[in-house]
Amino acid sequence: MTRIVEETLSAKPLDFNQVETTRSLILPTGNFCLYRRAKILGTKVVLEKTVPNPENINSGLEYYCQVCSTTDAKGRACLQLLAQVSREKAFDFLRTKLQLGYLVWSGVRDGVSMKGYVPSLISLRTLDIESLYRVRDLLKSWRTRSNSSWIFSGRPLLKCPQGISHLTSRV
Amino acid sequence: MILAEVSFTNLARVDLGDTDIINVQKVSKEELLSFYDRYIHPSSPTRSVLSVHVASQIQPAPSHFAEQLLDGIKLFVASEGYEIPPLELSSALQGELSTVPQKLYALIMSKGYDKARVEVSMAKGTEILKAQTEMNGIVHRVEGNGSKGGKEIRITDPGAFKKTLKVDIKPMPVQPLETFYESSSPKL
Repeated sequence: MTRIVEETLSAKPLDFNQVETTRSLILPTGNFCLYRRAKILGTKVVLEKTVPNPENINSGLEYYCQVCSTTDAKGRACLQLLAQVSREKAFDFLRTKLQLGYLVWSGVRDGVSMKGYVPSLISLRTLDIESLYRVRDLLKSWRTRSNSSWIFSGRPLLKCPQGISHLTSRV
Repeated sequence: MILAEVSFTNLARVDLGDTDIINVQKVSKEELLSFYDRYIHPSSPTRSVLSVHVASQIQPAPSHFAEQLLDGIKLFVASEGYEIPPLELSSALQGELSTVPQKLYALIMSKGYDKARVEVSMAKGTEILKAQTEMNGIVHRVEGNGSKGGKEIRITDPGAFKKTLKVDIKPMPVQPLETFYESSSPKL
């Protein structure tokens, strides 16, 4: 059966240039892009395409800073370090002090060929534009913070990833 | 077929874990600050940001700030390990907002807890209270088009917006695929 199909169609592998691959979109530099999907439940970003459910009370906010290509070794190193250094501060400010959401996360977001830094929130309260300004306040505050207040563990960055899942999560 | 030494210019390299460890150790404080100023700081003209908000259809009932604050204090007291009945807390913290820290301190101390421990907790709690009151007392600020961070683009049609974006270069193998071979001792 397979042979008949192959002989009939005379199929041959595509040239690599003809193969369609997923590619990243590059955000415009210097602009601030805001996508407010109000009154619609479920999010492609945080909740991964859940069916819109009028009984779902969760709201989400994500603030994605697109940074560098995955091939940019220096950018990748700086991004990983910044994400590790700021993780505790972001959680302390957004979750503990402001209590903006019950789930607060910040770290590196991997695209197909671009990487970025993203703080994200999921909350039972309405995350309005004011919440966005609080995230901006967080990012601004790092410049003025004294050296002594930055305490973090660099151990996760210096540990060689084991296994394919850890390996791919770093790139 | 298991491919060995698979490397794409824009995709995962099997040796990235090791190279990343070396690169991270080389990053200086100045380099990190310069990186932060360029890509992360809100006033940077060279950063690229996409903010996605998803709002629930359910509008939570507007609750009074004082009630929210009292709930927060109850949680805080419990998380710090002090055993004070919620009802006692509610009755003790009635009154002016500015006097809440003093009342809370007096209440915890009356239960016989260690003074140094309570002072540490109170310092933490005062900071949280300050952040909460600032946030709730704030008037909506006007930011965006006039800010130093650049022009604000409000996306109403994600599909149309995507079409305006530049597509990144296509990942290419670092060497022709024909040159890859089947490994007798696969690494993965």
